[in-house]
Amino acid sequence: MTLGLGFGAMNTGNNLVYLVFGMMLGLITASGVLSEMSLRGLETEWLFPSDLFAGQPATLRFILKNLKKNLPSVGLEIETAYKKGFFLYVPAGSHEILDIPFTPNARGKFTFQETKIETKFPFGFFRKWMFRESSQSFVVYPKINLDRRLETPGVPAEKNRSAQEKGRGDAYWQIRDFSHGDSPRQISWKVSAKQSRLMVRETERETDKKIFLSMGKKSRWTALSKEDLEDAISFAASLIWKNFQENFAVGFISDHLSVMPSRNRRQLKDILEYLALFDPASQASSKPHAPAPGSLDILDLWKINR
Amino acid sequence: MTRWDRVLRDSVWALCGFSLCALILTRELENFAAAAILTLTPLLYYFDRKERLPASTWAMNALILIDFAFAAGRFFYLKDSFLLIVADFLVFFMILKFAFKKDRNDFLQMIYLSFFILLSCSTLSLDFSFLASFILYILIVSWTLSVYQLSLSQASSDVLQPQENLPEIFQRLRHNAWMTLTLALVFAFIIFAFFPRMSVAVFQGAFLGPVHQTGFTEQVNLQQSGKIFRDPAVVMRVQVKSAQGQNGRGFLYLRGQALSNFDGKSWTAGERQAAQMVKENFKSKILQMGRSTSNRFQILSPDDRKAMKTFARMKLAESDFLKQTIFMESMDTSLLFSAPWAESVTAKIPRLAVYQDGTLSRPSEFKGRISYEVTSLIERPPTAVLQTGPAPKDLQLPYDSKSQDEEISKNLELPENSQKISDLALRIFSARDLPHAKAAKTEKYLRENYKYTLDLKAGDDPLNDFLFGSKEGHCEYFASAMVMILRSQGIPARMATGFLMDEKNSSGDYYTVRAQDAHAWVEALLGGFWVQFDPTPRASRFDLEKLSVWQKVRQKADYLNFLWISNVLGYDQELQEDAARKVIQKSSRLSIQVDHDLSDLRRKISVPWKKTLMYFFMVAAVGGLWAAKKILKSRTINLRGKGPEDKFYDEMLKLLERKGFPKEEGETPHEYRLRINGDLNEISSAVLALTELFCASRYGHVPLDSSQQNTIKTSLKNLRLYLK
Repeated sequence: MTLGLGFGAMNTGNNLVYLVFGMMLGLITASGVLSEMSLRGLETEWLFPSDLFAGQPATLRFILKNLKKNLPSVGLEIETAYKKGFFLYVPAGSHEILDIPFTPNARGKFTFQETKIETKFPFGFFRKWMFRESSQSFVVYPKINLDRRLETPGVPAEKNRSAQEKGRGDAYWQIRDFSHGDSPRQISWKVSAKQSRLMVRETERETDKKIFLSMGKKSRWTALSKEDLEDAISFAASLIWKNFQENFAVGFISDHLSVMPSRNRRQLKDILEYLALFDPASQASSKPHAPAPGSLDILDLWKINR
Repeated sequence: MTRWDRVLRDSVWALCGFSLCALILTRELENFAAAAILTLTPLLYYFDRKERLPASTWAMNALILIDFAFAAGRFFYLKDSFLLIVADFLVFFMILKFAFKKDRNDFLQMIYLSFFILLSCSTLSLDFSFLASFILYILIVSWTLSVYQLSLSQASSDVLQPQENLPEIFQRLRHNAWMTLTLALVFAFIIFAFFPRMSVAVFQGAFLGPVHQTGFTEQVNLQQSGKIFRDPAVVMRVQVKSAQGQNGRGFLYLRGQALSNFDGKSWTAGERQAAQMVKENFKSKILQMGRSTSNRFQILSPDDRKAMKTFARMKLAESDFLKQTIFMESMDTSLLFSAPWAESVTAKIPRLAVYQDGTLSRPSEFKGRISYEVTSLIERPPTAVLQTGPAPKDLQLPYDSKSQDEEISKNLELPENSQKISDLALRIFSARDLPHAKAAKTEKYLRENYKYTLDLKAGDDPLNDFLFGSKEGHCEYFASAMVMILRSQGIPARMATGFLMDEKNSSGDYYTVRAQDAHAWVEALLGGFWVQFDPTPRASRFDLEKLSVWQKVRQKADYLNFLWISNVLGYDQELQEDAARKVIQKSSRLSIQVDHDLSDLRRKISVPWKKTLMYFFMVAAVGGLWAAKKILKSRTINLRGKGPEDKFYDEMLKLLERKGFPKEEGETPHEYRLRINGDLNEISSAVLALTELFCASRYGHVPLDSSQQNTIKTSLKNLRLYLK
């Protein structure tokens, strides 16, 4: 259109058409300059949720930082392998957040190699883009399905047994006078009111609920079909997750990871991460773990619960 | 409808409405088209806001096709002006777009349409109002295109950023619009000033603009004339190089033509012969395209000059010639106007017809707006020469007929029943008076005994009614009367028509000529020369001293128009080359001047220049290095994404890592803080303070003040003590 207008101006010699022709060129230049200004000085960062399970919707947080001191960035399209996002406005020297809904369909490690940032702002005459290398990765844990059968024969599921000593628990142990250092939470206000002095209610310590799971022999896992392997891993993850939620101390042993029963969330993440990345076919050979006393074989449990 | 959609809708409406208003401002649009714009646009906008417009694409397309067919019909069958047809077509196209429900594609089409309307304005606009329209259009179109683009990008994206900062975005769009305007104006100026004017003129004839009906006709009918004297439209602007008026009267006559045949009611030129002056029309021999270039047509030949000097004892000095630059609007006549006795004409026309009565005419295909230069002789033969009677027949004088007998007899013809006029003539002057005295006495008599009026009731015999009845009339009556009186006494005379310019624009030192300045006067053949007489009394002429405020404002506005016409619309290849030459000359003069001044300065001040310059450059180099270091430092900070203020956070991380709390990859500062919070309750407040200050300085680019620096020191001290 601009070229046509230039020809029209030359043909007619109309000076006002020359002005309009100049305006068109000015608009094209402004479009190029403004889109370039929008794309300059940008930095990206991904934030992934700490627990991400296959099949469960989650939110990936994309942070776009505008490092320019005075110029904001406008109209930026973000293209990832999963979704297209749009930043309308990123103020100068600031950052904006885009929460991208994401439902991973399989366990494993996901890596964002690069993110494409594109803009057609301001007039759509040009499409400019740039790639931002990120190489940030996150691990998707196996699918958790608490609706399936997750029975663990031999593991006490009833109320915890008492340990015959005071400690944390629900059962009554004794009432005594308040002394310095006692937690105010332990004060029994009802009794204190009756006795007209501060009295403390102590409970009996309960023994820990615990479950110790073992991956068993690697050869048994390699013999499984792909579907069965995924189902068994999902079963293991679901079982571990369920027990952890029920306040069990969860222990785990495999060729590469061995953790004693604990309620530490960090340890749970280690186990889930191990399961997420578990691939019997490609795992480097290491010394098989010795059978742990009292441990339950995951594959055996899986077969029982199928 | 989202807020963003509403903004887009209103922006597109504003853009389209504005472009239509710009079209109205050109004052070339038909009345019905302007009325349609002014009534339908607000009405349809109201219905669009209420979402009550019909959604029927086929109906809209059918009506657009009808609009197109109508425009094509006007072009091919009615032969209307192409540019006006296009403007009308675009107006109704836009109104049809207004009238139906619109989606995003329709909005884009409307933006394009608005651009074509602006283009149409550029082809129709005749005054500087286009500049205002042009500037405002750029601002609005920049805003609207940005809004459209953002709206489109949002629609095609899966995830959108929460829109909490719309006012900031709109402010940014406003800034962008101003920046776009600046760039567009810079480019427009560069293209305008330096882009070569080639005017290849392919299909030029098809794109002629509208021709204005001024009412100036090539024949004068006393019963129908008069309308033109009430029309204030500007028909031309004239710059004169010499401020001298003609005949010492302070008025300048712009002669168009001479009329010789009078039948008692109307004047016509009658049969006349023209000498065609043809110039080379093709500047480019290769392209062989019709490029109109400036040509000079010499009317007064060296022989003419010689005859005038010898016979009429005229000096013909340089100061006796008046140079006029005339910017004529498009008029429905091919005549070229100039002060009488034109010596030469310079115009962008390939041919000039010079009639035997001195009338100048351009080719009919060049009827549009034109600017040309005319040099006229303002010196007149001495009265003694004019009183000598007819010139010798063998002497060929300029501004006279080449076939004198025929011309004389034509200009002595009288209508029937002219005995009363002859009687009147003998009452005005004596039969023994010399012709020049007779003419002067008649001029004086009519001026003193007759009144000027435009309110006429023309009868069947308008001239006799004027002379012997009402004794009131306008210039055409006065001129007709004087011509007939002179002819009745054997003095050849004719009516000359044109314009009388006396409205001087003090701001621009030029004359504004309006349609109402049309005038008729008398030319009588005296001593071999056609001498000018004006028997019309001067009625309410322009007085520069008694201008009202409104008239002064109008003068200023007209001056802007004049500048626009002479410098913008009239900017052509010659002016371009002229400007380039001037720039080169001035720059070389400036450089010589600067050299001269510098050497003068060196002579006056005995300073060791070489040493001073060396010191200066050394200081500049040190300063430059220091500035570069600063810039590099700030760049490095940006590239690394970390500044020196972040060191305290690194130290905190090191301390915590030593105690078994490493920060994980991909973990945000606050996520990390929350994770270790449970295990390190006692120092949580210190960790919180350091994390928040880090985030503020790292991501918010907030510089840390002294109290915050103290907080950092205290918190780190606490951390060190606890983690020891």
